[in-house]
Amino acid sequence: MRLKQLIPFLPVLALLPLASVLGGRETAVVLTVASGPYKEAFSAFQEEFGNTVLSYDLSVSAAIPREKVIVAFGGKAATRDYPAASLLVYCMAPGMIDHPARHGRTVAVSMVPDAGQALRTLLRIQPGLRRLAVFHTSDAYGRYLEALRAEGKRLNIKILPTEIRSGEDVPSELRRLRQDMGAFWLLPDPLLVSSENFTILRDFSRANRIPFYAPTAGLAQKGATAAVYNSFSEIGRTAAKAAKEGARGNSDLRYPEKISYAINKTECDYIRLELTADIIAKAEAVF
Amino acid sequence: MNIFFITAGVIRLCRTAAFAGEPQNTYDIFEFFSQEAKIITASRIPASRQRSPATVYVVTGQEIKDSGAQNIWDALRGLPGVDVIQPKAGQGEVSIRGLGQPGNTRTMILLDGRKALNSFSDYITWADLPVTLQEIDRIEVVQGPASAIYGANAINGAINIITKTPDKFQGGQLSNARGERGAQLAGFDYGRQLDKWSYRFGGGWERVNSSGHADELSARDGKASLAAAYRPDENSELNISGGLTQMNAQLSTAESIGDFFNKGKNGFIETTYRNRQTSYKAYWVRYDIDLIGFPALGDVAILSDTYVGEAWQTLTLPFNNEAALGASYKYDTTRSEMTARRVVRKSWGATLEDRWDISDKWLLQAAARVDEHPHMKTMLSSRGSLIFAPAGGQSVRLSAGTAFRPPTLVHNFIDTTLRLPNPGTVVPKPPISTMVVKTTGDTGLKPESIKTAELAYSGTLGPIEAGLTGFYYKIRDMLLPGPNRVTSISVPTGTAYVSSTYINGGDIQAWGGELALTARLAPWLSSYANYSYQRLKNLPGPDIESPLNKVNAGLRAKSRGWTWDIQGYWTDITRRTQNAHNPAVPSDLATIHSYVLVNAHAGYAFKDRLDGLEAGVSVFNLLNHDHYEALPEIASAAQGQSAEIMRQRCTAELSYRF
Repeated sequence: MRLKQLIPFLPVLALLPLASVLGGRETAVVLTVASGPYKEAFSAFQEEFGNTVLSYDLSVSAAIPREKVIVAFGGKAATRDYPAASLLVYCMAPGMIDHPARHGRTVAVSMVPDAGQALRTLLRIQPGLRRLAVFHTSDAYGRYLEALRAEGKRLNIKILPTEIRSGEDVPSELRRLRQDMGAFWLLPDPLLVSSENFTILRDFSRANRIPFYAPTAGLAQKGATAAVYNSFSEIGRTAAKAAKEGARGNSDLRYPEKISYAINKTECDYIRLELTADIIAKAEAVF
Repeated sequence: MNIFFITAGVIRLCRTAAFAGEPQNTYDIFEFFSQEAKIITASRIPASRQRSPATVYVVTGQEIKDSGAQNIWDALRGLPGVDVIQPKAGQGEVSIRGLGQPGNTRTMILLDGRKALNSFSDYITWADLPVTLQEIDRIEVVQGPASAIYGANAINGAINIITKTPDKFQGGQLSNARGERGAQLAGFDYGRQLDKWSYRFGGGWERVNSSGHADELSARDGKASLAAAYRPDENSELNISGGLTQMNAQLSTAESIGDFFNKGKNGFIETTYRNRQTSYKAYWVRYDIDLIGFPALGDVAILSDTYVGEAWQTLTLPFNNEAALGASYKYDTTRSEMTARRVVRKSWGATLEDRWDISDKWLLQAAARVDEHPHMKTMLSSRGSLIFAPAGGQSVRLSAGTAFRPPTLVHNFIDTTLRLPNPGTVVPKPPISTMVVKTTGDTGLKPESIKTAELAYSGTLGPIEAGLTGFYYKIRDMLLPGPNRVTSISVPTGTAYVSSTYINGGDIQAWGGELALTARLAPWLSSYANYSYQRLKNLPGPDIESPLNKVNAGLRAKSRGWTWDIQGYWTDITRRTQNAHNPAVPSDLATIHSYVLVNAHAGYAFKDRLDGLEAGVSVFNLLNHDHYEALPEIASAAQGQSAEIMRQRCTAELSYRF
């Protein structure tokens, strides 16, 4: 054993006193970009959180905060190298339904609604729904699909998980499922939600009179039959609660309590999906 | 620093206040998903390469499939700083940053974190690893000394082959490939994810004939593996896995012993348990092999059992420190005709690693490990890295580290007698027609040790990701075959008796660098190019001087179900001291000529009714540039490394996923 072999450790020892100066504060927010859905969720976060928090916009800054609690909005913000000692709460990262690989406590706020709530809401919109195709690309949705299957069994809905490997597969998958599904639901999978795919899905829905359920209200506005979703505001509020409460366990997945749905009345009429007055009245948005 | 953050925060709060007045939902929802899609691609590699304490390259299972590689070593050819040579059709050798030769054991090879080098000579027969190509999730290649994390043998780096976990399977896959020169590659996998359980089982059959003699077997393997995982909750996980390979592969590792077949079984059983930040691993590895057809030694049986227990604990510490503590204990027994007795060895190691986020731009990572092996002093390995990562995806890293390679069981305990014809170079012929060479091990050998410094830059320039690395290392106490001494001569029988052993002889120095570029030219088109340079000085004895220059480049297109992949490798001439092991002939300097190797693959994934079916064609050595990657056989008395000529081989593949 040679003392010289300890040389690589000397910088650590020398810099340790400096570290005491760099103490952590309470909470910081990191936004992938301070606009659009991220900003909408962040505004609701601020309202719920109450206290003033420092915020960083990754589109203009590469800073990595070192506060005790870090709330990340968006996948880019969530995958930064935060100190392991910090609690990371992340949301608005639909491609990362599973936790990012990191040491330290982590809370993920789901963008996709709780499986049971989502299916019950779909049943209220379409009481005769018995076979639901669920489109996704990411492996990350594996566990969620299992939860959907289990809930579907209870509610007598057969779940047809449909993995789309590329956008080119969408038409063939729709053709394959045409006779087999009572509706199809597009998960908020970033690799799948594009204007090209959306147009194909919407046109198929219209042509075959099969309801098309979307993952955000904005997509219902653009022509999906309806959307079942967690609103960006609700996601922001849930992130605020998680930031206050801390993690339950080392890694924690939370679903917002309140689920929302939006209806596109024109599309419903076109495909002859009859809606009760109650359903329309309680919708978050009707287009 | 705090003042900076608060000021920056206040400025951003003002910006946020200004945003609050904007009307809601004026954004394009597709832009949001497009932004998030970029992150998925970027986060596939768990650890940020920018902040990694060493140069790390990752080859994913999908990339292996797209490249059409028919074995693991072909999948690693395109990496900068990695030397891949193929002495025989079924034998690949992989080393990092120099000293690449058959039998090089200075790179740690791991299969799911489990040491895959055999406990007899620390050698790995790549074709015999109990893993099929389709089971591989990714291969991580860590360059530079890594003994501080992995322990012995990680002198020039570590290669960790990581298989897909059971929860990544939902269904099955069948694959079959047939090619020229008897090439066959068949595999199957099936896995299911249940509520808290997931399981997977699979296997494969591989065969390839000699490249030079198309009807002669080069390697044949049958493989089977199974794994099960139980996840009662988010925080804990229990995994049990096992694998077995039945193998028969022709090898040539050291020139004095010529060709032989490595025939037998190797397998493992492993269990791991993780609860929050604590993990435990225990495994048993067995090698039961016969080395058949030694020209001068006959057949040799080796039976070894290795039992390992490991424990790891990660800790979050004050001042933005994150630490990991680990300890391992190994017990192995080996029985062989090449050692005079059954050898039992016990060793242990303890590791401490700390990562300190000094600020948003500076990171310091340090690791140290103590290893206790039999017949040598306690070894301390260390590694320290200071990383500066300013904005814009750039980072600069300065690393230094030490590592070691202990004498193998062969170095310590070999006890063999070889009977060779006398070529007349050491003792006159006639009257001496036969030489009897007795080789004995030495338990007093010191371990080889390395000291390294590395300076690395990585950055993103538009669509191009660039990495530039420079390194220097010095290896001390190289483990080498010692000089041969004539102990006695019997003129009546025409026999000379020669003794030989292993020694610590000489130090070497090396320096070099790698430039690596990758670019996504279009959503469907990606490319890479890299250049490696390495120069060795004071090379003693028989070790190989790796090629001075190497260039790799590749282009991959994926569109409308089609995959097109072409990769080219140019390797500069390589020189090595030949016959230094062989007392029967004088040593000389031999040259392996430079060569160009181009491999190509085209594949198509069917849709609609044939969904899940994929077909492809791979061509190894597309230009049919016949070449040697190690020294060819010269004569029956001087086998060299008896490498065979590499010729073109076309393979057709079919796979079905259900």
